[in-house]
Amino acid sequence: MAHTVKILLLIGLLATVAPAVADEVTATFTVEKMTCATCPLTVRKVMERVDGVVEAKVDYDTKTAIVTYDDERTTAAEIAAAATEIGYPAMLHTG
Amino acid sequence: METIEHQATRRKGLAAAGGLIGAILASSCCIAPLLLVTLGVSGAWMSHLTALAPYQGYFVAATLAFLGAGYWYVYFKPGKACEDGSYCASPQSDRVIKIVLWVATVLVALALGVNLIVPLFI
Repeated sequence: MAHTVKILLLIGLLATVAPAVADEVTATFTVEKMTCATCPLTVRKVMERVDGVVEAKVDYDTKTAIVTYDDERTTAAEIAAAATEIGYPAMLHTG
Repeated sequence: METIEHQATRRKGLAAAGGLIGAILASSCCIAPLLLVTLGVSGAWMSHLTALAPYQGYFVAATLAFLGAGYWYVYFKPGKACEDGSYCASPQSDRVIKIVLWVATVLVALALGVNLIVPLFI
């Protein structure tokens, strides 16, 4: 009985999540080594150049980047890699 | 006499070259990557440029010192009386040095100016 409830809950969860798959998602990254005024701008440009990224907002004070992207065309890992490659190590912010 | 003038030119050249190198280093961390990324250039090698950011202050300080010396040599140092037709009477090299000094000044001003102006737009 308890199993059935769990399975039903799981199905319910998947049903609510599934339609969101094709939509735009937002992820927050922590970005290191942004030590100059132009750095956040550079990070923003390089993240927005990733195919599928709709918008990137980079904040110098909190060293974070809030990125909206189409998760069918790119992944958080790809976006982080784009910034990391040019010298600003970015990590997906969890929690 | 000739050798003394040569030495002065070399010192001016050294100051101008030092200023230019410093100015390029000072702008490479922050302006260059932004320009390159805007133009669509990207690559792992660019992390070397951005890694220079913590040292920008030193580059700027060194550049200003070189430029100060350069300007002083070129514009303010009391000149010696030159004989007509001698090397120091028609200092072709001074023009190059002046151009280098001005280019370095513009670069370093850009590097500093961008730091002040860009935060206003973000």
